Amino acid sequence: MTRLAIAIDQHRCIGCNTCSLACKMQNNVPDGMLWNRILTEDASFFDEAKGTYPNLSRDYLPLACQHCENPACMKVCPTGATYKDEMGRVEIDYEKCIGCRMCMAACPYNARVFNWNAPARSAGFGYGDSRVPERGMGVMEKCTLCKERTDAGEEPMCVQCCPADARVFGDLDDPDSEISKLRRNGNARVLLEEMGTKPQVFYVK
Amino acid sequence: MAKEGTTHSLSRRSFVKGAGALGATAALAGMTSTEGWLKPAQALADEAPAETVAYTFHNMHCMGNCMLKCTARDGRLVKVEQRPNEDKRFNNICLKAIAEIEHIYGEGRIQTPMKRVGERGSGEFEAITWDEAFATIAEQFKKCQDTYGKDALWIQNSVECSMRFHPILARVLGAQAGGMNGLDNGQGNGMGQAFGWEGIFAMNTIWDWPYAKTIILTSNNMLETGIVWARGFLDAQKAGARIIVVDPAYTVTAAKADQWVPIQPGTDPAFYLGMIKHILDNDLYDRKHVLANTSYVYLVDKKTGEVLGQTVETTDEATGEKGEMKVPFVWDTVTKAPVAHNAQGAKPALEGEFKHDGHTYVTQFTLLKEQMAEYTLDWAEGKTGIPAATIAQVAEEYAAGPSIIANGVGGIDKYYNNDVAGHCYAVIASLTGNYGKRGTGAGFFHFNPTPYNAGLADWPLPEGMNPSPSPLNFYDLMEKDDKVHAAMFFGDIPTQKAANWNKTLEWIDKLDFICLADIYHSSVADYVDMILPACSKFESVDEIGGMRCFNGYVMSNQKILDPLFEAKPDFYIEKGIAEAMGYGDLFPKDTVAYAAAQLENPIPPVAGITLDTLKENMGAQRLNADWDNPLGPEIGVSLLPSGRQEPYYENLLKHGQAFPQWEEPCEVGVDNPLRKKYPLQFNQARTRFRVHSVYSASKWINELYEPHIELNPVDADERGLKTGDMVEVFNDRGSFRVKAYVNNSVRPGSAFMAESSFRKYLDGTLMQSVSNDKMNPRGYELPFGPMIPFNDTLIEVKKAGA
Repeated sequence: MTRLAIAIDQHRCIGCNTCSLACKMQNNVPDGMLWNRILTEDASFFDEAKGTYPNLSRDYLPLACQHCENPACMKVCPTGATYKDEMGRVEIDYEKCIGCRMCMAACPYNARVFNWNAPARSAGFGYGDSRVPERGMGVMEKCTLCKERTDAGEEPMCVQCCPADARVFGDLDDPDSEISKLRRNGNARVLLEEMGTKPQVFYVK
Repeated sequence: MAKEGTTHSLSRRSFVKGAGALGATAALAGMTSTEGWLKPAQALADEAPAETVAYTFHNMHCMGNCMLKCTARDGRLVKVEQRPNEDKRFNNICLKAIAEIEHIYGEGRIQTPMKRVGERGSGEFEAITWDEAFATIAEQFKKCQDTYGKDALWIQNSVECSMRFHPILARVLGAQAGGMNGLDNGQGNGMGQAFGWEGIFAMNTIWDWPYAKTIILTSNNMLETGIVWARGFLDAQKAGARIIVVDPAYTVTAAKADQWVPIQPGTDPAFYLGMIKHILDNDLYDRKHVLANTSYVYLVDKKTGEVLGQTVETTDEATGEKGEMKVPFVWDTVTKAPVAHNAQGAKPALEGEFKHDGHTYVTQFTLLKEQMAEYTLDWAEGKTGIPAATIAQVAEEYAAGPSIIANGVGGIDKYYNNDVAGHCYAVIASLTGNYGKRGTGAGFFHFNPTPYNAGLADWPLPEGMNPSPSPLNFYDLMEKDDKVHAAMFFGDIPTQKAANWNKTLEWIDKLDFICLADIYHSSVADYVDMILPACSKFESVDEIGGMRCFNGYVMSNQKILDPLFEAKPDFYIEKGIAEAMGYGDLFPKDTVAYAAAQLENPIPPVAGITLDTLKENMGAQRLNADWDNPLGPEIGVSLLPSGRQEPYYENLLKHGQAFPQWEEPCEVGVDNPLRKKYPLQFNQARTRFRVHSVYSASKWINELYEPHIELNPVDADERGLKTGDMVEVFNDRGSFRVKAYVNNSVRPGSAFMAESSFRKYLDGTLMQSVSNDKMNPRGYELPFGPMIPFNDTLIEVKKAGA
């Protein structure tokens, strides 16, 4: 079996948002939407420091679809549009999506974005990888783990572009992969473990 | 704008706590919108149009120079990635290169030549043709130079407006081309002289960092301003180096460091003076190194401060030019007399006072001890707000070595006393032997990431065809200029290279004619007589639109796209003006010809690199160098003729700064009575979302960031301000308006703002309206001139309209 995933080293994440825009570009994500974004943990706006000067901390949390083993989104999808594929990725069949947004409400990571209107692009045209399918109004979208790239044996664009090497992509079912070694090192955490969603994406520090 | 349920809202149930970017600023319509210019978007699902791939390199002014692979589809830029490179150090990209996909088509682009029809600042312009633009400029330039002399015309280029080749126009017209920048070189001004280099850049590279035990990053937020060199920082930490950041603000870099030293703004020299004193008092210096490799053994006349020595004649090996040089003397403990520092068998005294020929001499080491006497740890604590014990701990770790001091080119560089800080780095490095060996060093590291670089040939012009000298630098013009009558800027020089905007505007108003060529509608655009649209780095008329050598690579700027809108490459703007003035034949026929000329008669590192080989190698090729040794050889202790490190600057005796001495910042000093009226220090610096003002109009970046001033909660509460309030920032020089954010990362008593959004995004105001323009006279005697004290500025902040 294959369980593709991404490990993120939060110490190496410098909050630069290169991954946010690399993803936006690759996947032709419209204005006002991101599939992947950088949050500042326990903050009310990006880059806010926690604590009182000078006793401060700040941690960036890159967040996208966690490609859960037990995806809450998939369970509530009435049409089977959201599915777990043979590579261990959570994917959306855009043709089957009826825009009910049950998945959006169910995802505890708020990883999904919805086309409330016809997608707008101030660049004036579609960008990114021509293999990426188009999504229209009323369709849900989110990180596909760069399906088109990873199907072709390439790394997801966020991994390729990260200037701090904070991201490691690989197969959790391959015990010798770098990502499997990171998963085993005891320092790894998944988000909202108590929800029982079993995210494949995990974080180390 | 962000809509409900889109990217920018957090989980409505806040399951994952945290915050992303705030919403975008409202789209501002106007004459720079893309509407009508571009063909309608084509659905991707349609028959896929053919894609073309070409290579270029990105920004020079962030010093990243990232080599890029760019994909165009249907004539539009659709993908920007790193150019493939097995050497991961040069396989780089950041968010700004990716944002170009929208940015180059976006609302900020200047699309057509325009002339001003309303009052300055009104933003009222009328589209004109290139022919009219060139004819008008030619007429104005001729009138100016014929009436007032060649040097009455000022033409200044900048990398903000591409500048992929060495500009030609100012040389051909004999115009003034601008003097020194007043930026970035303050600490370098104070440091380089000790080791025999000029400039700001460390002589070794960031890849030396893993060999260090301690690295002090000072005035250095490299994880934002040098994103693509982040690996150098993180890998050094992984290798065991301990990174200490000295900065008033809790920057990204401070947060990732092993220790943050939160210093009172403008007091960095005091921190380092305290370290020097502690190093001396506790014998933490490297005695063997100090005796063998430094000037601390030289004798200095106690009364005059002059170094005792013998003047000898010299001949320059390369030019045969005669000169003279002083060979300094030391006190020889064997013969008990002064001898040349390099005399065979001499055993120099490190300390002591000696009488000779009716004069009293002391060693520089003794003098340093005397002069540092008052800079106790307690004194330094009083100035900097850093506990004495912390200053001692940093000094001890640094002295133990191997250690590096890595400065940025902001922070203390933007205060009146900037060179004193750099001078202190030279003193601590030379005292402790932390310069010249593997894992040591000082300077600005997140540039020149290889020791291998080379110059390319220039376009040949008739002999003597040079710009007129610029006795005044741009920042001097406002006070002292009585010569310049017409000006042309490529990029927004007036708001980038001068403080105190209202004074800059007075100077602009005095001119008979002022023209701006720029890619984006930058702040100064509304105040000029004519605006010309320049191409971005992705557009070119010819197959190759530029060529430069950076990072050990010759990089060509291949054509990715045809010029957008009616824009022209800056080369063709210069050439068009030259043609209208009758000088067109002095220019290359096109940019391919210019690129080819740069590779003619190459020096050995460039040998074998041609336009054809560049094309075969994805637009860029490594120089011929010892790439198996990426660090290069150890740089050695000194490049000076004595072979010693000489941190005693005899040339600054008249300023009392032969050794560094404490000097208050000129405005933000804690005792300045002006603080009663304007109690906040205004700190501006680059962040990840800008290179200076560029990307102000990037929609993708504006979805992540909106211009704002940050205040500590203590200061915000005192003024009844909360995050999201529009505020007025003001002092006696002027004011501007912006949103406030309340953030603990800002030191109480300070305010922080990322430089330097276009005025359109600041409610029509300019942030340089408040910044300090008082230049330190000492700076005029330093290699790079004085620095503009942008951050040596006091302000007050109140709710807008209150």
